[in-house]
Order: sequence, then C-alpha cells, then structure tokens
Amino acid sequence: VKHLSILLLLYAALVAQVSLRYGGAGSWTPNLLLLVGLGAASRLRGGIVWAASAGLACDALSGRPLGVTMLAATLAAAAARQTAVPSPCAGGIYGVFLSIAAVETAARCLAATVTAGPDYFAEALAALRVASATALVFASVRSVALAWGLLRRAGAGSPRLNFRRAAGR
Amino acid sequence: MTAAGAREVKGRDCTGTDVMRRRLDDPPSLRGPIVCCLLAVVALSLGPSGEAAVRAAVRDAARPGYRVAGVLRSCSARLDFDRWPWSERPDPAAVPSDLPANGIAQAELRRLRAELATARRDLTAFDASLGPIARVAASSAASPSVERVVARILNASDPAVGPAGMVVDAGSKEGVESGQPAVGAVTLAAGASAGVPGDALVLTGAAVVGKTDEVGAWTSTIVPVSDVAFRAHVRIVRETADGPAFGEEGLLEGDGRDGCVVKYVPSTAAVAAGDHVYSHDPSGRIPQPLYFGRIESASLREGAPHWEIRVRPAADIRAASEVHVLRPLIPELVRTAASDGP
Repeated sequence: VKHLSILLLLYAALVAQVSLRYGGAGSWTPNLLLLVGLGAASRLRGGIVWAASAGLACDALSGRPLGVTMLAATLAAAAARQTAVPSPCAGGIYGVFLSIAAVETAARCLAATVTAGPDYFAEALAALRVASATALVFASVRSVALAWGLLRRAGAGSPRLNFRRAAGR
Repeated sequence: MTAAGAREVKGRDCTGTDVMRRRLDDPPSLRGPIVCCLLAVVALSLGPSGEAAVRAAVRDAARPGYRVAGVLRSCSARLDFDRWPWSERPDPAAVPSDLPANGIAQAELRRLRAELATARRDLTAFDASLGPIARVAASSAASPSVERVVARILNASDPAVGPAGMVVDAGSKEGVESGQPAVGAVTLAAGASAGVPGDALVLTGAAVVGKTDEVGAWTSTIVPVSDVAFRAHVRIVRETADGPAFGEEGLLEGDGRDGCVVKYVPSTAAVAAGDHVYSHDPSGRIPQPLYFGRIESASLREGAPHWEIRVRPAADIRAASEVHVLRPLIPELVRTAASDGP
C-alpha cells in the first residue's frame, strides 16, 4: 500500500511539476519528483527504486541525457542511507535544499559533460534555483500540515468535543 | 525479525514508526543501489530510438499537466495585477477625467492602426508573390495526397524549451510520425481565387515552422526550423517579371539561433538576397511547395564551390498556438480515394 501511494504521489508530482513549469514558473520550477523520490528512499525499505524512477522522469522531462539524474538521485539516496544522514524531509527546509541542490548540480554537470557543453557555473546556478523553489514548496506544504495538525489538536481538546466523546462512552 | 518480536522492545509495545526506524537501522543492503546504478548506466547508453520512446512515454503521462499549464497561462493572461481587486469594475465616470491616460491610449491606438495597415500591405504583397507558385502547386496537388493533423502547442510559454523541443498534443494515435513537416496554422497565402482546389489551398505557401521528432501516443515534439537538428531539401525561387523562376536545390539547416542556412547550392547558380526558399520533396510525398522564408544574405567566397546563404524563417513557432502536421497519405489510399470519387 505504501509503494502504491508513493506511485500515486509521484504521478501527482509529475503532473504538478509540468503544470508549474509551463504555467509560468519557468526556471524556478520546483523539482517535486525528486522531493517525492528522495523522501520515499529515506523512509521506505526498497524506496531507492522510487528515487531512481523520479530521476529518470526528470531526465525525460528536462531533455537531459537519460540516466544522469537517475544516477545522481540513486547515489544520493544510497549515500544518505549508508551514512545514516536524516532524510531530506526530516532535515527540514535545509535538508531539502541541500539534497535537491546536490542531486540537481551533479546531474546538470554530468549532463553538461556528456553533451560536451560544459557551462558548470550556469548549471550550478540553475540547480540552486530549482533547489530553492523546491525547499519553499516543501516549507509551504509543511506549514499547511502543521496548521492542520494544530487545528485538529485544538478541536480534540475543545470541551465540546470532549463532552461528545464522554457522551459516546 | 518476527512481527511479535518487532512489537516488543524492553517489555513495551512499540509503534509502527519504531518498527520502521529499526528496519532502517539494519545495515542497508547495497543490492538496490547497485541495480539502480546499473539501470542508470543502461539508460545512459540507450540509443536514440529507445531514448525517444522513454521520453515520449513520460510526456504522454504528463499530458494532464500540460493541459493544466494551459489553463494557468490563460488565467494569468486575464489577470491584470495593476487593477487589484479584480472584482471592482472601473468607475465609468472616472475614465473621461483621466485625460493623460486617454491621450496615451489614443496614441497607442493610432500606432496599432498604422501597424495593421502596414501588415495588410505586406500580406497583400506576399499574396501577390505567391500567386504564380500557388497555380504551379495546384497542378501537382489535384489529388488529396496529404492530410493535415491539427496539433495544439502545449508548452508555448517556455522561453527555454531546449532540446526537449516544442510539445504538441497529437501523436501516433492521430497518425503522426517522426520527420513530418509542421506548418503554421494561419498560413493561407493563396486561396480559391488563385485557382487552387481542395486541400491544396491550405498547404500551398504554408510556412513551415518545424518537423515532428519524438512521437508518443498522444503527444509529439517539434524541432523548429532554426534548430541545428532541422534539415530539409529546399529549392530557391526567384520572382521575375515573367513569374517565379525555380532555381537550384539545396539543403536547409537551422543555425541554432533564430535563422537558417542553405548549403550545397553550387556557385554557378544565380542567388540573391530577397529570393524565396521553398521545400522540395524528392520523394514526392508532399508535392506542394511549402514556404521556408526569404534569403537574408547570400555570399560567395573566392573559389568556393557553394554559396553561403542565410535565410530568415517566415514563421516563428514560438508565436504560434497551434500547428498543422502534414501527413502524407500512402499511395494505396490515394488510389482508393480517386477510384471512389465521382
């Protein structure tokens, strides 16, 4: 069930990423695919497959040579697992920024090397833009989730709901 | 580790998160990463056809996203952020009192009218230049040899489309194949008045914006004429007092910026700036001459065997919202249509 939900989440991320990119975000489009893939890799056993799949989808959408982001995402997820680094999501906005920036920079530089057009500085800048946008999206989602959790707790602690629960018992 | 063992730690029940954390604490196997890395290397070494198939599959899957992007673009185009909130309509009484703004708007209106008049004049001249060519094409296009597939451009707003190309919402389900020419949607340069019958009238003189490249089931990419990957057989046409004079053939290539070059035109040919460049299909699958643009400059170096010709494309795909992909009908179908006809 978890892997099925990750698959659905990954598809939603694919659709959302394309919508944002061509809907006006341009080069500031967050990399939601990598966010979901790396998150799944750090939280699920065997989730590294999702990181690799997310990387492959990124390559297919961006026009980079197929496999470069896949390789970078796999290595990043494996390194995080081996060195017991907390997951990007557990590391908060900084963790998301650093992990996405690392994978994007590595993938872009590798692609620039493969295609014999090495403009590493521009690629690193573009990677930082993507990582910033992704971290901002992550922070927004987390804030909404936090607010929702607070609301639920406030609702659970309200005298009216407690009275209803007591009446139910 | 059994499920019961997993649930009991130091005499207390543990949650699912604890179980997951302990599983992650186990020394991770390297088998998964190694397999994924090998798959990445396989993906890197895929040939062009395999790579195109993977890209087309992902693009097809992302088609809802392209549609949502179109909605977002149209919404953002409608919103004027200088007039927030949009629920408040401008007070009609306030408009006449804003005299400087009205003056600016009237000046803008005059400028736009002048531009419209210039554009109409250019279009008339263009029509006149294409008239004889349209008649030539009419003779070769008496039978329906080409079918048009209307395709909407899905990622028109992206200024840096890059190697992924322009994506259109027509694929193999509509009969689109790789390498087919795509022409601008509003390219009617010659009509029935030029004596062009049937389908030919929308093809003759149609400005080529690119050709299909990677074709998926529902989406395809289009390589613009200015892309370095674009190549096409062309023929140079010079407008003379006696009508169009068909000149030498050559190979048109994109220059990677916003223009094209024509190669392999022999130095013995007569070429000049202002001549037109039309398609020339040696296979005869698309007999109608499609328009590429006007020659911007033509130079011949001392002793060089070929001309150096730069062409300004007549149509810009970035300004288009939809294109027509030309699909040659197979000869059997053409014969069947001809025999079934009146």
